[in-house]
Amino acid sequence: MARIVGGLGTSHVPIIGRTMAAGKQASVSFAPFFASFAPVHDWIARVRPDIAIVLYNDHGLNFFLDNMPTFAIGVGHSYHNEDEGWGEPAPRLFRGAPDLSWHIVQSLIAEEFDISTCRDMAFDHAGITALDLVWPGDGVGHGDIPVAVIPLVVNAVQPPFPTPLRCYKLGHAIGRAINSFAGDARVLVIGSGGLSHELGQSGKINRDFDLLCMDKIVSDPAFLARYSNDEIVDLAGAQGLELMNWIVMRGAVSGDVSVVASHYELPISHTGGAMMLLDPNGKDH
Amino acid sequence: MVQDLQLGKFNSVVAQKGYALNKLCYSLNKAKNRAAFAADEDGYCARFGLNEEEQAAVKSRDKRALMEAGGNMYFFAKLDRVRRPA
Repeated sequence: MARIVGGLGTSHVPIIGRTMAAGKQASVSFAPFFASFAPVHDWIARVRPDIAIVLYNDHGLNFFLDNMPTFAIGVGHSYHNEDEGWGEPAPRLFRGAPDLSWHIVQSLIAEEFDISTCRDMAFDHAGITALDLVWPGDGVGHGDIPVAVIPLVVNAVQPPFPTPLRCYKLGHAIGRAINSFAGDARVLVIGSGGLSHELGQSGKINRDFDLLCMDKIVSDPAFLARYSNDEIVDLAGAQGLELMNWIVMRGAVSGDVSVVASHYELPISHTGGAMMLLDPNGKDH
Repeated sequence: MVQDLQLGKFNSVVAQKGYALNKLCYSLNKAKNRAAFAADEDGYCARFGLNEEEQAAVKSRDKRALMEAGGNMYFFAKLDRVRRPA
């Protein structure tokens, strides 16, 4: 039987991926952000998830305005990276989990969530960076990710965006879907994005709001779901809406959780950087 | 000036503008397109059918101008990734 073994929230600022590729995690100004993943790696070795559902916002790579879903899930056998404008990357392939993907689709549709399905997807840095932080492999982000991956995109490109409440409910529905899957799966749910920032703008970081989010996501996620998107933009910048990915994650990893690791790093580029690993099994680490 | 235009918030006027501009920016995901754009920005804009406002916004790289022309920040951010020819 499938179960959710943990939930991770993490920033995906592009400099994180570049720093990993250059092997400079220990020497950059935000080195503590990378160091904060040490307990995550210990936890991974103990808990051994074998599928990662990665909730993230596409950054103008896989989806264009001609056809923009609100929620879209990968149902492919594999996914690939592509040039996002910074240069052709070394090609990487990410193994999919189509049985679980399709089960989630069926469960969501039955619960009246109209999710789009993608049999082929270019996997954005937002998703890849999160996976490389959790499974650093050779340490420079070039390795194969050793688990199967299910990308799930939340629209943050073309407004209007799904409401925080809708995202929270989607998370709950994903959680129920995973728990009703007959196959064996140890699922890590990853919410990639945030925290406060706005593209091309320094000075949009809101430390107080970020710390509030990190507190409430653990103790009272419904509090965050009561904001409107416009309120979150005012508080956390336009890209602060990436908080939605954490909200979906928390909806999936519902109920009481213990915090395995948590770190706020101000700044990573122009972003309030953050990471948090939640364990629903109530063990203290 | 478009009224009440704020990044990250829905605006019904700009939602209907800037499609050609955004499509041009989306094409810049590909290296060969970035090279073609860098070599001849005006020609590239003409091939995508940008109107005067869109073309001026691209030329200026001004964020506000790009937004007013209907540019979406996820796409016009890719303009900054074009390397100028040496």
